Amino acid sequence: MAVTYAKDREIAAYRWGFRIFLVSQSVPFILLFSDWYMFDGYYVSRVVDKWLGSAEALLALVSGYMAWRALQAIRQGRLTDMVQGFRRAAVAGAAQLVVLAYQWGTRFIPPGTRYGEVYYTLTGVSGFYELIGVFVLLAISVRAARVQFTANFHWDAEAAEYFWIFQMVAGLLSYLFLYWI
Amino acid sequence: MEQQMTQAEARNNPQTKVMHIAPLFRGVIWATIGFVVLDLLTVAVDPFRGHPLVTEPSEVMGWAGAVVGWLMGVGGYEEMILPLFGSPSTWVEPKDWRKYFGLSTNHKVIGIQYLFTSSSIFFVGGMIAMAMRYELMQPSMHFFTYAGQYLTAVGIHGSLMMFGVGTVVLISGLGNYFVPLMIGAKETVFSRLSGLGHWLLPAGALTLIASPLLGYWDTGWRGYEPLASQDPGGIVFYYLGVFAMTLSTILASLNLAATIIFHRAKGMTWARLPLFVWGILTVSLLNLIWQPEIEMTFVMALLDKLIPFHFFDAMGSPLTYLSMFWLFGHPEVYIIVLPAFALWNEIIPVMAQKNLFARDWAIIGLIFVMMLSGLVWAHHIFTNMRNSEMFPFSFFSEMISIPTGFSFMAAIGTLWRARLRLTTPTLLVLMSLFNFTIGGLTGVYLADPPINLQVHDTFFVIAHFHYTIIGGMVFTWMAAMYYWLPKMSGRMFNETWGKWLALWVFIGFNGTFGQMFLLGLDGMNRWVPVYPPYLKPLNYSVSLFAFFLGAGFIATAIHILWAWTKGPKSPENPWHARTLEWLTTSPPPDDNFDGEVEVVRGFYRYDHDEPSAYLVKSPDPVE
Repeated sequence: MAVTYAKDREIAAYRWGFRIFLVSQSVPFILLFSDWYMFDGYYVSRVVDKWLGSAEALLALVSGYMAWRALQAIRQGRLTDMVQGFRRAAVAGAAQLVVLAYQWGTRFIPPGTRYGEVYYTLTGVSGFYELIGVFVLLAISVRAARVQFTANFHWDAEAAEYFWIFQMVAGLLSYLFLYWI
Repeated sequence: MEQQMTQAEARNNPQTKVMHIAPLFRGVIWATIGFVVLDLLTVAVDPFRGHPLVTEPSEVMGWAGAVVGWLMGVGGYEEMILPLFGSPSTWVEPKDWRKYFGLSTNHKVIGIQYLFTSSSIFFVGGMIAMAMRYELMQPSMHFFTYAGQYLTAVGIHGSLMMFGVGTVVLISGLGNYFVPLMIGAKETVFSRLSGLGHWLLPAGALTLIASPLLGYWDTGWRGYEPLASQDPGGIVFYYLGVFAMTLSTILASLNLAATIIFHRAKGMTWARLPLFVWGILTVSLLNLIWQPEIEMTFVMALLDKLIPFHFFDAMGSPLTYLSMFWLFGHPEVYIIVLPAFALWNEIIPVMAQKNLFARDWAIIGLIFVMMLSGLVWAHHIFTNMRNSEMFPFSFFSEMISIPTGFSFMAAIGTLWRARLRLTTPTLLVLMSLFNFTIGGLTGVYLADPPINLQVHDTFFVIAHFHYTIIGGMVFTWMAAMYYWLPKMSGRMFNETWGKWLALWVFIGFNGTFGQMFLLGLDGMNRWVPVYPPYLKPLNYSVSLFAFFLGAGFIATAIHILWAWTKGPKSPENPWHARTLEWLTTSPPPDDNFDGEVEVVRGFYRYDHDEPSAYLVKSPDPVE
């Protein structure tokens, strides 16, 4: 009976619930993206460093790919690859946060401008989600040492990957709004 | 493998831990530590903000530390953090009264926790309302010393009532308790999350109540800009308190929606789903969309206050804040009242023992109100809009009365030629129908720009929304408490007392808010502790009725508490209802049903004697 929750129906409920939670969590980003004040006469600041922004986006993509590969690994029963994959994804995510912290620290972008307000809000919100994502990836990689994930039982890993991909997409959309559109 | 997976299970682990201090007490200690540590760290990093120990940024960080400490202290550490890292949970849920004072995974315990916390918030918010009415008995200030005190009282009253009561009691409270029972489920999908979510509610409410310590804020529950960004630090606790309470609602809604979709008993098809469950499902979806919206809006307003940014002040766009607030604010009203619509049609067929009229249309009404609720918001800011922009919002605001009318149609159609049992729940539902008719009709008036512009920001508006919220939701809440009291407690209330108290509250309510329509038409403005002397007689009369109403609510609460603990034993199904919660014992056992439920027909037909569902008893364990 202890494994009742692992039944297909239960996993389907977890999966649906977590997806709807992520849809719910997309609302703050939709609000920020679509806020007509913020993008009314909106501009991309000339002082923005597109190389650093691109480096962040690249790290996000690489990290998302690593997390995806980690999930594929456990689907094929390769537990060690999954743990390593999640840890690499977390390191890449942390590196992205370091780049963001550097950009914040140097204050290339003055916070008192319209662009600056949008920049610090969007990167702050997406950075917050990313910080949680790094924590979740590391937690799952620790959890994997104590709870054996298998090809048939790895909902925890799947949830971590969902969240990581969610924050990656949110971060990439923020990047597009901040650096290109 | 099975052994390893068992280790990950939080429940029934042999390595349990004996708690040497009460979880609540531990929560307070950890919250204090969390606040002090993060507050001091923030002050150390960002020291030059006018005070050596408490600054606005340090309030925010300290609050975050306090909430995390609180949640961990009441049981989150054992139930969430340990299992997250693969260790077994050491949390033990007591079987006695202490189960209500810590993290629980039992949806019925969580429901009662929510009901208790929310009722306490209702009491505090009500006492603040009494103070406001006492102030308004005289045209000049005689109770509050500063106008800011009065306005802070108005803001705390409104915020507590909307985010701590209106959005909570029917959904997180009665919804948590009864939805799993009504669909034949033995547990909910995200029970730990739901249990943790409850403890955000008292954290948020206490934050709001503590806000005057940091300075009086004068924006009311709307937090209007640019006023808010100029307010003292108290407004920061308004944002944070509301953030915690809305997060609690999101978690409860997520759990209930997933449970309704995935934990229905065999035979519980969508066509057979009870009305109340439909109501909870629709508002859960609304909560999942709109509560994050207001949270993000408040984050932006908080940044305006702390950094400061200029999203919403005179250098930005105050109107954007108004729009973003009401984009959430009007669906919020339907979030509050949709479960009440559903409950009307849950209780009336039972009390009439008559088929529910137009059940499908009652459900379609709930769904269309849900969908239209996001299209009406700008009628709150007609005074800030061009004439041409008002039309679509005026149109949809009037159109939403049509699906709302479906609930009335089903109720009245069922009442038609019915041999109605005039019990206390029936009486309160009829009162609710009457009150909401007045609230709804005046809402149609307010949707028309000429009237809206005339009575904007007057007591006419206050009367209108109290008729919908108290008149619609609170009366139905009381009806539902009486209706389900035998199920929750196994005991019955006193019918005579119940009816007299209902009449007491009805007279107090209509005397208070009916006269407020006249006050508003006479020119009484909102948000003012002083007013022209010619308005004194009517204000005095409103206040007397308000005190009468407040006393009626307290008397009702005492009656319900008495019945819960000392009332006579109730029969198993005193109303002869057909929904599934009556298929089990009163109060229900831990796992709800002593066997598997199988639904064979709908619950709202009384033209036959066949049961709607069967309980297939669990076989006795083999020796």
